[in-house]
Amino acid sequence: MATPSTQATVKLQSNDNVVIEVERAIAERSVLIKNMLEDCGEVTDAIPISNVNESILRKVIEWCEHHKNDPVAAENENDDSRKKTTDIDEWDQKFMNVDQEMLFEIILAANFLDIKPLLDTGCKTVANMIKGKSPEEIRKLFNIQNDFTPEEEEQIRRENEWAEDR
Amino acid sequence: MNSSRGIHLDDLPNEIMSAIITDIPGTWDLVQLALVNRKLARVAQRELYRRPITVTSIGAYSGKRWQLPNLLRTAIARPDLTKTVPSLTIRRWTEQDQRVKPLTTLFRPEEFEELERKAAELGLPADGIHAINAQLMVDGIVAVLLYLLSPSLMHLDLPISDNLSQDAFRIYRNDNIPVELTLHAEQDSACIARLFHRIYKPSQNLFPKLESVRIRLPSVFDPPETYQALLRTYSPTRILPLFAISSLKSMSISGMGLPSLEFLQPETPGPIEDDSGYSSSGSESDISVPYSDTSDTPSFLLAHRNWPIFPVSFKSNPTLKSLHFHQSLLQPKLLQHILPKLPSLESLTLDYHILVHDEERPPSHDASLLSYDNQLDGLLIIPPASGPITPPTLHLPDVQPIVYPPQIPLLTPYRNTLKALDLRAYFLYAGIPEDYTLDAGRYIKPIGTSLPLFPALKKLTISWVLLMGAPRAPDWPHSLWSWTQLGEAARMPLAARIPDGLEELVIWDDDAGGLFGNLWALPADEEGWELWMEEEDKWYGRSEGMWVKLEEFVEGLRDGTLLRRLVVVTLQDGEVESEWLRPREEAVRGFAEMCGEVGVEFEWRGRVREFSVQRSNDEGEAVYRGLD
Repeated sequence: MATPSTQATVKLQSNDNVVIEVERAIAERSVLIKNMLEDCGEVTDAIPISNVNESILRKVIEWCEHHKNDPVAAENENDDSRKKTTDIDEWDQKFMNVDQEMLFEIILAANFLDIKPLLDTGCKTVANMIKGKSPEEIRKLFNIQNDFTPEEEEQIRRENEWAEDR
Repeated sequence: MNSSRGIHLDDLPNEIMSAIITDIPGTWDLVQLALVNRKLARVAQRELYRRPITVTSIGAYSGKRWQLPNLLRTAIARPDLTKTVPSLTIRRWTEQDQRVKPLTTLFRPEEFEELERKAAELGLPADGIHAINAQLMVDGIVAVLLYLLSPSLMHLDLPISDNLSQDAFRIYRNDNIPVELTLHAEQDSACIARLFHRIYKPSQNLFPKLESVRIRLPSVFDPPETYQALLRTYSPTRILPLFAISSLKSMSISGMGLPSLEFLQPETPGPIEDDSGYSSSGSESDISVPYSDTSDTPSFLLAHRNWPIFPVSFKSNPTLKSLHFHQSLLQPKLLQHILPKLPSLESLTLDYHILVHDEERPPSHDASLLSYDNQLDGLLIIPPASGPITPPTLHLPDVQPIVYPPQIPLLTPYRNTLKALDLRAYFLYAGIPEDYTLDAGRYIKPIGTSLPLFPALKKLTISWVLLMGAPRAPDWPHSLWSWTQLGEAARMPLAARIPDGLEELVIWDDDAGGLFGNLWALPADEEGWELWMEEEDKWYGRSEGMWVKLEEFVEGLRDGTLLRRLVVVTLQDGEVESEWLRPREEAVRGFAEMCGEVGVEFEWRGRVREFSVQRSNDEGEAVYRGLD
């Protein structure tokens, strides 16, 4: 491992070649970047974030800035605590109030950058959008094509019929 | 937030889709999602069958009539789906008036053929298959379902009531009580028993992952009308094979009563055969329920003295750490045989619900009996008031064999390993003659005096009367006499009754009112007369004596005490007692401060033993149900 760096900021380069300078502590909300910085020590060049475009990267940085003082979840923390609630705090709700494409892009970016709390918030947001809706309403909301044959649909319905009671 | 271009929900990678679906708590929502398209169906169904499943059987009042057979249908048709089910709860399947609908109307022919194959594999008789088809034997459905899900099950919650219809039918018929029974008289848990007995076959490897089992007797059954029927609830042979599961860590049994009629008939029961090839007869090598002390045992129970529990091949279960017997009539006798087979036991819960009643007042006419219908552990029968006073008859919930110094025969092997012990007694009384004194001391006293012999004990939950004892007193009511004159129990400091290493002590103040004559109610003045504490600054209300003893205990704690937490639960009968019996807030607060000064966290819980009016019977009388 390289010598720990004391640099205050790092540069991140989006996949559309925009370089954004950000506080190191904020960038390190991303486990991917944190590990990279720890491995490489001083990094003067911009770190390429190949899967994320500028607008999404800025959005992710905005989230990291807001949550920079949040306690970092323990590595061995299992998923159970996350499952217990689909509550999302007010700031995050507003943050996630974007069009679906951006929402999914944020989720993908959080997954790529390994920012688990942001990924969790995105997943909960989508889960909350699904709750209480019929299959047709879900299809309409997410613009999904029904690719079932009538027989397949009937089969799925039969398989899960025991769970139909609300 | 519509997405008209770019990424769609179903474009997300599987791991992200799984994370989203994990955040959908409702089963219904998952079912809807599975109907959106093929990809979402795969992800949603995978999640659905990795979650705990609860199904309610087809009772007339359940409103979920076909959940159980529909789940069975999926288990048969899609074993790839259901092979991941970790937890199963089946509700109300022994309830009366199960609706009849042939499975052939729910199953496709090939599915039904597969069901027949599985049932035959399980060894269910041909007429059993027929009965399953007609849903006359719901336990056949349950047995096949358990059989199919057993490889993945880690938790099983199975309320069982044995021979419900058969017994109820006979009881009601004998009493000429018109009862509409749509349930077939063959309904029983024979299929479950057959399934469970396969556990004894090592080659079967049934339930290889099962870690916890909870067996409950449902309380929805109408109270039986006869005395015997009250006692006759569940046959333990049905579930005891579960003790042999090698992965089992925790077992909870509620409401297990006495063997059913089929075992009661012969004076000397014949051998019980099962398809496992084991035979349990009355030979000496068998382990059976010994009714060695038969003086207080009703004659109709004596037939069970040689009744087999385990096959001789079952030696022990070294994985089971936690055993919870709740309201189980046979527990003392069963424990004599179960405990020696559990060498790793660390946590034991035993609670007793004991109804006390006057022999002159049959319990069937008493509302409070109805409230506890089939949940009782035992009956303490008080002889008629006229004639000589004789010791009461205590049927079965005799705690004496469990913890009795110096032998303490059952728990002695666990002296150095038992970390948590929960012993509680609930005395409910109805119609006790006012001139009667209960000599309960001989049953209770040995417990408190034995507990210091358990140095490994870290957590103790116990009824106050079990901990401190109930001293003998010649006359009723006790409370007219100074508590300081009531002998050893009152003089004994609490510290002498608990192990030194205890970290948490939970005391249930289940004052039994007239039963113990408010034994611990009032402290005495210097002359031995009771103090009326309501006029004092500090008044705890009921069980004043208990609180005074607790104060003495806390004052005696020194630095370095291992005790970290003290809890008092004031248990009241909702209908009987009133608010003024609860300790005053300022008194509790003062006691909590006293605890805080020696580094002990204190909590007081007021808990009402509720009696809620569930419904009315045909005569318009309220039927009560006890809730704990």
